[in-house]
Amino acid sequence: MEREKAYNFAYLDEQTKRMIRRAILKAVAIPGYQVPFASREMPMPYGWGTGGVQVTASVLGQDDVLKVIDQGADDTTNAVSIRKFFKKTAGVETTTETGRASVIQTRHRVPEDELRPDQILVYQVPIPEPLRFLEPRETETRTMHALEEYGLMHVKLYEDISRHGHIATTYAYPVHVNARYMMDPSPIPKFDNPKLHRMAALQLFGAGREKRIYAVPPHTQVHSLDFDDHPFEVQKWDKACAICGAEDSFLDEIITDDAGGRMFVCSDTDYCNRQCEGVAK
Amino acid sequence: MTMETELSPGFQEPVHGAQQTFRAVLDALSRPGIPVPLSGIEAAPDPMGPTLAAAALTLLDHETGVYLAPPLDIEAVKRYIAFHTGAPTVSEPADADFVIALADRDMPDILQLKTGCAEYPDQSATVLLGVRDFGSGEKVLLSGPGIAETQEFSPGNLDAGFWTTARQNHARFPLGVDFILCGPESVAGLPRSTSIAV
Amino acid sequence: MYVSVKGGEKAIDKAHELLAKERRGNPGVPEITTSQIAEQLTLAVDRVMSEGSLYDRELAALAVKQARGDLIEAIFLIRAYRTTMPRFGYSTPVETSRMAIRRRISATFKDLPGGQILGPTFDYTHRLLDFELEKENPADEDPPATRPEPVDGHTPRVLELLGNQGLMEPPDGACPHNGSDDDSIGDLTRQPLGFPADRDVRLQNLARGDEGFLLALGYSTQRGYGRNHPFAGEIRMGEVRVEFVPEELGFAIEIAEITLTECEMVTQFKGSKNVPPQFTRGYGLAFGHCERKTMSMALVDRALRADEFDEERVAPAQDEEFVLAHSDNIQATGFVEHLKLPHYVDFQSELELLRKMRAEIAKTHVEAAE
Repeated sequence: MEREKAYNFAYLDEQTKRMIRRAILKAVAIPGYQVPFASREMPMPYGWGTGGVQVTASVLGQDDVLKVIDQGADDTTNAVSIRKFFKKTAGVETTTETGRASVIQTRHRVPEDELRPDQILVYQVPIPEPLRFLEPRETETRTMHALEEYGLMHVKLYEDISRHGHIATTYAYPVHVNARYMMDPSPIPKFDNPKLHRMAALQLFGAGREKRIYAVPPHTQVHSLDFDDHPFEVQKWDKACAICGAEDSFLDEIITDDAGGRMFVCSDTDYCNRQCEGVAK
Repeated sequence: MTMETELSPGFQEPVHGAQQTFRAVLDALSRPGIPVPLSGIEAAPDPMGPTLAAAALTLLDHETGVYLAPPLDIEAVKRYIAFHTGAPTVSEPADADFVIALADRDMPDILQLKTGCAEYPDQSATVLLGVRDFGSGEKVLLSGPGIAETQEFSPGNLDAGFWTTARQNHARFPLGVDFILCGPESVAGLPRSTSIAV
Repeated sequence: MYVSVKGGEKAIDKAHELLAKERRGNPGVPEITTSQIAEQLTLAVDRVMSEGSLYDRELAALAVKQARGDLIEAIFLIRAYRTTMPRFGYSTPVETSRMAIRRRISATFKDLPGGQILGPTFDYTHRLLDFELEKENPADEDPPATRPEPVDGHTPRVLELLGNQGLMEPPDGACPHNGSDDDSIGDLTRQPLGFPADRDVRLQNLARGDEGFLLALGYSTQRGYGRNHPFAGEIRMGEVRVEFVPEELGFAIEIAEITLTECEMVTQFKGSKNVPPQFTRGYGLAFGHCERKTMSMALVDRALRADEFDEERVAPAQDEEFVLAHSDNIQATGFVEHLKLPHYVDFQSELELLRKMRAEIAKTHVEAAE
């Protein structure tokens, strides 16, 4: 697709890209630390992935192949809209195949396929601060990170256990990166948390409204918080995907009628398609 | 009046040249110790070298103070950086956001550079360091984020003194400076997060 | 067999077509022009310029039209346009004491040098619908009122008059960058907001902030949540010159003339062992004619200065992080409205846990019954 020439390549001006690129390098050098950056107003609303879009725009080159997913799917409206944005402003090739993509922007999921070293995963992040719901003040949470004072989070998780018998956090489940910074993995289901640990691909996180960028370099230790007597565990389904039969993927529940009928299908549409093809072959 | 000498050109294609350089630098910093091929700017003024010039033009602008360590503190390099990036030069290394230096020459004291503070460890300096190559120097073993097990690293003309300083730099983590080593045809990263065994 | 929903792209295109139709309305009715908006919906345009932080009446009018009159949407359009503009530099400070005044009132003195000028105000209108406006009136024969030129002379501000008598905290106290260790003016569109913020950045944040949010906060201070006993020392509206010093020239040249509204509140007096009691101040400034906005801004500015006067921060309007982090309506509307986006993966996770917990409780009950 021919790129729209009225705007700079990948929309952002070069000065903005430089500022973001410097922030990304700092983020990589300090895994899990949230680097403040002068986030710009983007032509889509805050909350729609402006942080992820700015990060993608700053790393993207002519030869990249871009994949965009929302809830694991390539055809959700916002994924379609962001993909279209980069097609128009950068003219880059886009794909729905995880294996073909060099840059993958995501909202709320990590692809089921193992990612490779030559891929970059860009997460859209609404609230980058894992401690924010326990302490609304930035001045306080910043000090907690500085002092590596994360007791508050452990107390919160333990209160869950004593009240519900479980840790009641099922998504945006906090992680400890490189045994130093506590990090919000973005609102991915905790099912995806283990994939972050020692992932071969570089993981970049962009929060536009909150003006923060952070990163997990390849092969970096990412530990989901837990307790000796309550080890971290992920969601399990007693059903397989109704379309492809996969038993190892994250399943979305679909309500099929008004009599309570429901079925479960893969949230990762590309994975599901390939499972089907594999069965057909 | 000073003689007007011709100014060396920057990237042939500024937008894509900067993007390709950034990706090489990003890749390098994400996988410490593994050189990433980079063509750089052939026309860079001596003794800067193509990759060092490319990294500088990619990362610097009027918002970043730069310190040029000797022998790079010459008029030709100063003018080149000023023209292509607009970055103000600072006279004290401790004030710099970026330090540009050559490995075996008058490197400023790394431990005196900006390290950031506990609340903002990102407010630290980045050192763009020109090295002869990535194979002839003292061999060290790297580990940490970005490295699966360990990574051998032996950039040219960096001596034991440098590695002692680099280890002290790592010991201050999350404070500290990050190095982008620029060789003749590739760049390698050495972020503060990397632990170094001699 | 179930097939997952596809066709997002087509749905989006169709939605955009419908949106364009809705915006146009009945094609039998003449289309509104941007110059009509710029000339006749002036206060809407002023608000869009102010909170969009871009002084351009034509663009603001276009944004109002494109946004179907939704001013927050229009502000968003302007912000997104503005953010990619190259910067040439910063103007010299505008001098509001040299404003070509169209409106100037003080609630603190009956009369004062320069006089009170009522100007174009709703203040003493009776809010009765004027059905005459329903008719299309022929163009007025009279030429429009010419706006006065900015004056080189000086119309002193009320607070200066008080200051001359030592009754007002010196303007240093109100200097935009007090508390900062350098004299450069902050710009939160270039540097992310940090806390505690200096007053320059705070005022920039408030100037871009949502009028409704500031109005509510200002109101809350009057009702006792951080009360600061305000008087409208002066409100002035009119045109000022904007000057810029190009690097290559080295002296200031006039680049524009803009309309501004400025409000200075005279607030609660304070004193200490070293300083005799003095009035304190709160400041508001906005593009165009935005009186409600500047008055609210001045109240909130003063409330946020609590630390300077050793006042206990107890009310929302005094809470810097709370106020500054939530004042921006583009950020706010984005995050509130993003709840419309799909969240089914997260919801699924919650659903799964809830079912599991209920099943466990049911099991315990059964066991207990046995």
